[in-house]
Order: sequence, then C-alpha cells, then structure tokens
Amino acid sequence: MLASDTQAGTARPLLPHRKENPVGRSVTLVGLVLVAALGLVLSAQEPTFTRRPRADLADRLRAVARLGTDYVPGRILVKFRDGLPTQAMTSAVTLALPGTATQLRAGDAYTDFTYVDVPLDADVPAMAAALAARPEIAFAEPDALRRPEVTPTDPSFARQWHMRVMNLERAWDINDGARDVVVAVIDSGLAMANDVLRFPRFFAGRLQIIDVPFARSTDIVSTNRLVAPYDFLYEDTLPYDMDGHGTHVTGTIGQQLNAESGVGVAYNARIMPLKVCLGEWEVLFFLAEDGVSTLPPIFEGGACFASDEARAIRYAADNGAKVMNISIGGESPAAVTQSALQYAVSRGAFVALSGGNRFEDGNRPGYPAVYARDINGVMAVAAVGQDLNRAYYSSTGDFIEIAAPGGNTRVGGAAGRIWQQTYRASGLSLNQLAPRFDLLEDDAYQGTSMAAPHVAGLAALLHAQGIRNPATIEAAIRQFATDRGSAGRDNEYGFGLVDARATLRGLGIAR
Amino acid sequence: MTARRLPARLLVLGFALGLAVGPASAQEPAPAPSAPPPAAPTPAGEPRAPEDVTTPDATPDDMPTPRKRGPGIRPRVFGLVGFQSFTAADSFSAVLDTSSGVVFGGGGGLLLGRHLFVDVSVSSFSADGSRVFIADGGEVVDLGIATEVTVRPIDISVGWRFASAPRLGPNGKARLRPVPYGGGGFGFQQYTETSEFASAEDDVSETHGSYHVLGGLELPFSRHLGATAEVLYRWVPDGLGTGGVSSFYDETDLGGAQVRVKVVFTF
Repeated sequence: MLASDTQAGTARPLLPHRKENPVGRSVTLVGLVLVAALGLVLSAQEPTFTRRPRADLADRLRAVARLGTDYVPGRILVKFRDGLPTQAMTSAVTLALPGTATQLRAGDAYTDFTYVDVPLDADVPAMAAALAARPEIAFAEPDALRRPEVTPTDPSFARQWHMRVMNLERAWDINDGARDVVVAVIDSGLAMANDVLRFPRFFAGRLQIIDVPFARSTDIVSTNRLVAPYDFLYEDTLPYDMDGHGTHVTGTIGQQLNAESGVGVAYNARIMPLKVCLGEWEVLFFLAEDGVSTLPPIFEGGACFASDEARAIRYAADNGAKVMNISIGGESPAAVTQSALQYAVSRGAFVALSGGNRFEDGNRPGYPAVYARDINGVMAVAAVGQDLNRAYYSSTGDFIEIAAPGGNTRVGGAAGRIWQQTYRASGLSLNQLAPRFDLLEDDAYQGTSMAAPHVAGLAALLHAQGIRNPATIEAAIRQFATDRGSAGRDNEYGFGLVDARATLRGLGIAR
Repeated sequence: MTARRLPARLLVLGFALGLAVGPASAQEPAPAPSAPPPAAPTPAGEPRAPEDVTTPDATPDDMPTPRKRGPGIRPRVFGLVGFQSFTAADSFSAVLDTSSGVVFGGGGGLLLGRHLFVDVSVSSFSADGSRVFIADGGEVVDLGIATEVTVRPIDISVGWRFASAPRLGPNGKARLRPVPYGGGGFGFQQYTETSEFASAEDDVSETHGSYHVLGGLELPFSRHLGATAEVLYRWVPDGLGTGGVSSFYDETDLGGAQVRVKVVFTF
C-alpha cells in the first residue's frame, strides 16, 4: 500500500504530546523542536498521496514493470456463461487450471466479467486460453496493457489546419457545435480544476513528498459543462489529467468557440471525462516507494488497462454519453472491451477509436480498433497529414474505416500537427522534481489519438442534427467521406477522409 | 410538407379564373344562330328531329344554306390547376414527405379546324421539405435543413379532338357536347432545389427535355368558355439519379402523371 494515512493538504500527525516539563521552558522548546524534526523525517519516509489510488494499482504497475509484459501479471479476466452458480464457476476454474492457486473476485462496478487471480509468475496467456476452453466460460483473457496513441511533438504556433480540412467552418453554419450532446472521453483525464495535490517522488536519491499544482483548462471546462466525470484508477469523481493527452483529445472534441485559443469540433457538446490511463508522472509517483526515479521504458507514453477501459465504456453508456472517444490502444485483444463496445452501441452511443500508430513498427493490428470492423456504430480512425495523405505512422488494415486529421510532421513540419490546448511540454518534463499541471497552452500532438476525436466530434454534430442511431452515424460518416487512396474502401483510409459539412448537409432529391 | 409560395399560386389561380370570366367553347362552333326554319312535314306528318336539320342531305331546298366554315384557326388560352404525382416517388417522399402535390399553370394554343389542336402549357409544382440521410436499412432521417423544390414543366402538345359535326338542340342552338381528345408532345422541365446553408454549387437548377402523352375531355359551357379534364403523363429521362436520394433509390425519371382541370377561353 503506497498511500499513507495522511489526508489532503495536512501534515502527518505528530507524536503524542509530552507533558509540561517543570525543569525549564528552554528544555521544553528543545524537545518540541526535536519532536517536530522527527515528525518531518518520518513523514518523508512514506509516500503520501493527497488522493488515494486504487489499492491494486501500484501492484499492477510493479508487476508489469518487473516482468515486462503487455498485460497485468497474476490476473485473468473471465466472463462466465449467464446464470452459472458460484460453485460451478469455482469448479470450472479448478478444472481448467489444476494445481494452480486461484482466487475468484467479483468484477468492479460496470464490468461484465470476474477477476481470477493467479500467481504473479504464472503464464497468464496460457491459463487464459485454458479457461476459455471451458464450456462454462464465455471468454477469458489477460488484462491487456494499453497506451495513448499519440506521438507528442514540440510546441509551435501553427494554426488548426485540421478543422479546415474537415470543412468544419461551413459545417458549423449548419450545426452549432453539438449543443448539449454528451461526449465521453475515455483517456488520461482532463485539466478540470485548480488544485494542488501531494504525491511521493523518488528524486535525487531520496523519497520526497512534492506538491503538484493543477489548473483548469478554461477553454474546455466551463460551468455545468462536465457530466459525471470519473476516475477509474482512483475510484472517485476527480479524473485529473496528469499527462496532457486526455486534455488535448478533449480539446479537439470540445474546445470552446471564440474563447481564448483554438476550437474543438463539437464546441457546444458536454464532456464526460473518464480517466483510465496513467500519465508517466503518475507511474513515477506509484513506483516512488520502490526507489524508481526514472520511467521504466514499458510505461513510456503512460499506461492503461483493458479492464478499466471496458468499465469506462459501460459507465459512459449508462450515464448518458451518446458519443465516446477512445484514443488508446494496444496489441492484445480484449474481449471485455469488445463486449463493452457492443453494449455501448446497444445503448445508443457511437464510439470513435484510434486506429493505431504502428505502421512503421510492424503494422500489427491494434485493439480495440480491430473490433470496429464488426460493430456498426464503432469506427476505427486512421490519420492523415496536412497533405491529406496517410500519416507515416498510421496503421493500416481491414479494420480501418475512416480517416481524419492526425498530423504528420514529415510533410507538414511544425505546422503539420494537431493544435489544441493542453499542458505546456516543459511542465511535463520527467527530468525535474515535480511536474506542472497548471501551465496550459496550445500544443501540437500527432497520432491517430488526434484523428479519432475529430470523428467523435463529428458524430456529436450528427447526433445533434438528428441522426441518433450509432450505426446510422457510422453510415453517414462513411457515405459522405471523400475517397482517398484506392477507389472505394481501402486499408489505408477506410472509406476516405471525413467531410463534416457534406455529412451534416445530407441529401436532397437531386444532390 | 407545407406548400409555400401561396401568393404566387393564388396569382396563377386568379389568372385562371380571370380567363374563365369570358365565354368560351371547346366545341367546334355551331352554325350562326338564325331563325329556325319551319319544320318541314315528314312523309308521316311528324316534325323532323332537330339533329336532322343540320345534315346537308336533309337540308330542304328552301332553308338558308348554313354558312360554310373551312378549317378555321381559333386561338385559345387557358388556366389550369391540377395534381402532380411524380414517378420518383421514393425520392420525393423522402425529402418532401409526399410524392405528389398541387400544380398551377396556364397556357395557350390553337384549334386547327375541328379536330386538330396545338397547345403550350406551363405548370408549376412547389413544395418544402428537409434534407435527409438514408440509413443502410432504408430508414429516412430528417436532418432539419429546410429545402424547397420547384418543378416547372413546359409542354408543347399536339392532339386530336374526336369532335363530331355540330348539331342543334331543340332550341335551335348548337348542342354543347363533351369532346374527348388525345395527344402527345415534348417539352422541357425546369427543376430547382434550394436549401438552407447552401452555397452556389450546392443548389440545383437544371432544365431537362421531356415528352408526354395526354388525353381528356372538353366540356363546353358556351361558344367561348369551356373546361377540360385532362390526364397527362410526362417522361423526363435522366432528370434525376446522379446524386441525392434519387441516386440512392436509383430513380432517374423526373416525370410523372398529372391530372388537371383547365378553364379554356376560345376566341
């Protein structure tokens, strides 16, 4: 357990107060000083969180860091057939994994699966396969590791070419920014409040307690704009972004019009920030007690888990989200996410997924993007640069259904990325004692992470315009896309580049 | 859908009614009225039927010879009101919620002798709707973008009136009998479709060639005034189908059936 008993903004309790020493006042003062000094030393020896993360979070991170897996060691996500009694569940697990110490734990809220804990050194994929072979089990799989699908780049002052590429300026004549449509952003959270939180940090050879300042993105968060925010890592309603990715993605969807900096596609939508990803700094905080001062490479870009992703999807669907954006992905399948996506569509929510940034890294298919192929109402999005050609990193495959601006520095240089409000890059540097999550500015990112929220924003506009069925939203986006690449659907651009205005205008009799 | 441009339609209707004020006849004019000749006794001593007197063979030698009329040319004008049903029913229904509606118009022409006629007519259909999206399953989703569609066919028709020789009634006046007619022709059809938030290249304003057949019945009220009930079927090939919902439904013909009533003034 990393968290101490210390609560927000308060010091650790001092040692029991001594009785007044009649020997002399000076001795008393010396004693008090000594006690205070001892208290400070003790408090510095234990990590302190202002907010308590989930109890198992640090364990998950440690296990992943130690074993270098792309899933959580010691855990399998299992969905039993409906109506199976508990005894039968236990029996099925025992039969599938003879001789293995296992423990069943009920899933958290917004899950349709059960956790099966196995030894940390167990071969989780093999055990999951053995469990999945049982007739009592619908699916069993490792809890896959996900990452934000972004390639951060240096800031500059280029403009938002990506909005013009989508023909949005004239689309907004038709629809006033998706007023009141609830869009869930399942990501690393949002710069949603002014606050100071306390975290442990192993730095300069010792464990320290640092104050981390946060600021609200005033161009995104306004009064009554946020709907049911939730942090699935801390299990509370404060999904503070400690990465910048979630805020940037949210900006593309909903940065406000005529405000202080850029604009988002659906500038009048309401936002449901759902945090399922840890930023790099958070990983350092959670591993500080282990003496970790530099980020393990496996956590570069942050860390998210399929189980949290699936829960967030169900949470969003049950709390009124009509559009969701998921700009995270990994190479491991996750039936829990697939099931959650199907559930979301059945509840009337459209989902935009980043298509993946792995083209130059083997171009292996990414998840959950692959699931979009078989679910009408869920779209996997490829990225194009300023030249409207597929960005060099954008994954290709038969699961790619649409393309949107994601940025491409190779053809657009500094101006060729996606510009939205997020944290200043210098404040996020890991080579310092503490990060600054209170410095916000327009910054440029590129990736399919940036492409997906353009489509999510367009879906919100379409919802506001009267297309409510997720499958119909997908059909509309496909139908009015501008064909790119090979004629018709192809694996690079899907059905083509989104055209917001053409999609919103729909069809007359003759044109 | 709510029909718009009501003032314009009222104007056309007023024009049509104005035409109806004067006398007209769709019937081939009867001989000029004159004093009825005395009925010649038949061999049986009964008076002749009036119909008989108009037949040349029956004209008695002593009665005035009816004024011979050659194949005269008589101009005529008309106003019309009718009901148009479009062949592209799915396309019009998707956007306008209906595939038919009221048309107004007018025109003019010539009667060439008793049987032949040439007419030019102009009619106008106009309706409001909204742009839509058609889902994969065929569901029509209203996008709430106001759209106005106007169709204005110009038809040049040549036809044949199945008119019999004029006959006098018991009062000595020519009998006013219905005259069936049929014909066909060609023409042009102007199609415009405008919508909210449209730029110049978004709106449609096109003219297409057309051809048609028609048939009807003339109902004379007097020598100058009459009415016709007419059915016209018009083909406008390739007037639709290259975009919009008509492409989705693969409907290419912009024509359709028109049932209309004309009030005719013949000079």
